[in-house]
Amino acid sequence: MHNDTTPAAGGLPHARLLPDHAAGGQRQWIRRNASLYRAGDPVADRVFFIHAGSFKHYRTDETGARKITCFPTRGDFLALDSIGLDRHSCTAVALEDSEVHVISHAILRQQMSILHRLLAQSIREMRNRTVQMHNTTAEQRLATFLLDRARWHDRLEGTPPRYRLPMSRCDIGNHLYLSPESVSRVMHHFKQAGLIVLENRYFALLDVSALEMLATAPHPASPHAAQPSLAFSHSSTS
Amino acid sequence: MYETSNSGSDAASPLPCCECHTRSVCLPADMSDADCTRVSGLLLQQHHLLRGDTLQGVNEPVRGRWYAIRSGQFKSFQADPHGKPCITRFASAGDLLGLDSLDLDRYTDSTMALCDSTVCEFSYPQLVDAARHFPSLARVLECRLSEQLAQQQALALLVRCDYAEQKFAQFLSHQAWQCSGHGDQLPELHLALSRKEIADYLGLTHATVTRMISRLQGLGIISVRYRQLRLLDRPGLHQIAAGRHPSSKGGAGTTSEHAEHHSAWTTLPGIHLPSPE
Repeated sequence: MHNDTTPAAGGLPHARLLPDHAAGGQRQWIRRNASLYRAGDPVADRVFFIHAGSFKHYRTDETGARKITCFPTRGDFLALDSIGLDRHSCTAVALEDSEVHVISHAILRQQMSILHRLLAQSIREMRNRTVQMHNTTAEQRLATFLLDRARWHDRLEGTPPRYRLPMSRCDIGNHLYLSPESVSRVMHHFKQAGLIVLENRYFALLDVSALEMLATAPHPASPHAAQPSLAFSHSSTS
Repeated sequence: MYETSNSGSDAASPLPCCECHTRSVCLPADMSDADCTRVSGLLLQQHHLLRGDTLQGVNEPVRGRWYAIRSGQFKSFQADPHGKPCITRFASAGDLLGLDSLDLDRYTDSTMALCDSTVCEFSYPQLVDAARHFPSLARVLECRLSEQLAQQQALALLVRCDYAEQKFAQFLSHQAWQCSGHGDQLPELHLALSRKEIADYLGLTHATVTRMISRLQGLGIISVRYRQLRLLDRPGLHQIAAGRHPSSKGGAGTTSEHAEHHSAWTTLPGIHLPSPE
């Protein structure tokens, strides 16, 4: 199922059509750590196309915990999940100084089939991420995460020598449902094994095929990646 | 693929959308009767599926079809990195199937009926053509796609929930509980998913799901009879979903009995008891 991400590559040129249509539209600069929109803000019938920079997109669940759904970056859209809603249910925070194009729903509607394709791709991407959370080890999740980041960059700028990770280890951990310590430990393990080069927030892939093997090969679930079974922790309530 | 012969007699004269009981949650939701008739005109045919029938299988060609569920429930699943099927969606009446495959040649997931179900078949290209001159349909299409993206995000969050109890309570509170007209107006839910399938969907074990169901029953929050659930204490369910212990007051069933006990004791003359608060 991992090659399911490839249709997104075919979709990218279409994604580029949209901001061309929106040319002359509004642009917006977002400083690092500032939010583009927060949960509860009015949607105001518009979406955003990221021209430069990157974001973290999170949702607060019923328990009040923030959970990062994705890290949209250059070439991605934001607020596609709020079409038809009055208020945003998620928050988008810039991970670095960023620039977005503001596109109104009316303009999107003129490009209906492109919009539908974009939405369908986003749904599938989210679906694949959910599937990845089932019975996978920390190594598998991180290997997939790094490969996905690298593929995304390759598509945009044609295999740069190294890739940037604008997000913190904590954010990666939140997104992959791992502790920040596990993220650091596994990254270090990848580095020791000669799979990647890691320098602060930059990484390069040394052995793509080994990482791909790691990401896809059936692997007995190791204890540290298993879901913490804390079902008994509330037993006092009954 | 399910037997097309199942589609039998209804294929000739599908029930028009205006008379359908799922109209308010399906494609023509919030549309005028005239617009509803236009949507109805786009309906190709209806299919009846039996429990366990596959509507679309992985790797089958996508023929530009969208299906609206008229009655019944469906699950969608795809293989996880180990090749084990993993449930990614659970759809019921009014939901649309096939939205996320509109730009693919072949399906990347399978969709199966969980109980005897009826779906209405639409052609996606026809819908898009019609929507160009039919603004309210265009709106519905984009809203439905956007809504499914938000649902998929919510599921990704649910799977990452730390505590089985919260996870299961959140899953239950997201379901569409319905008040059946008869008897006391308690919201009811028919869960066509088996406990094993719920466990699969939430990333729990079968045993944990069973334990969670009995615990919620013990707390007087739900009652279960086979796969028919009744919601006795909605605030209590929301509190558990939010990770708080259910309060001893305000609920139905066993919890309110406790509250009555306390008030009876404190009003006894001559006995001084500290207030339960």
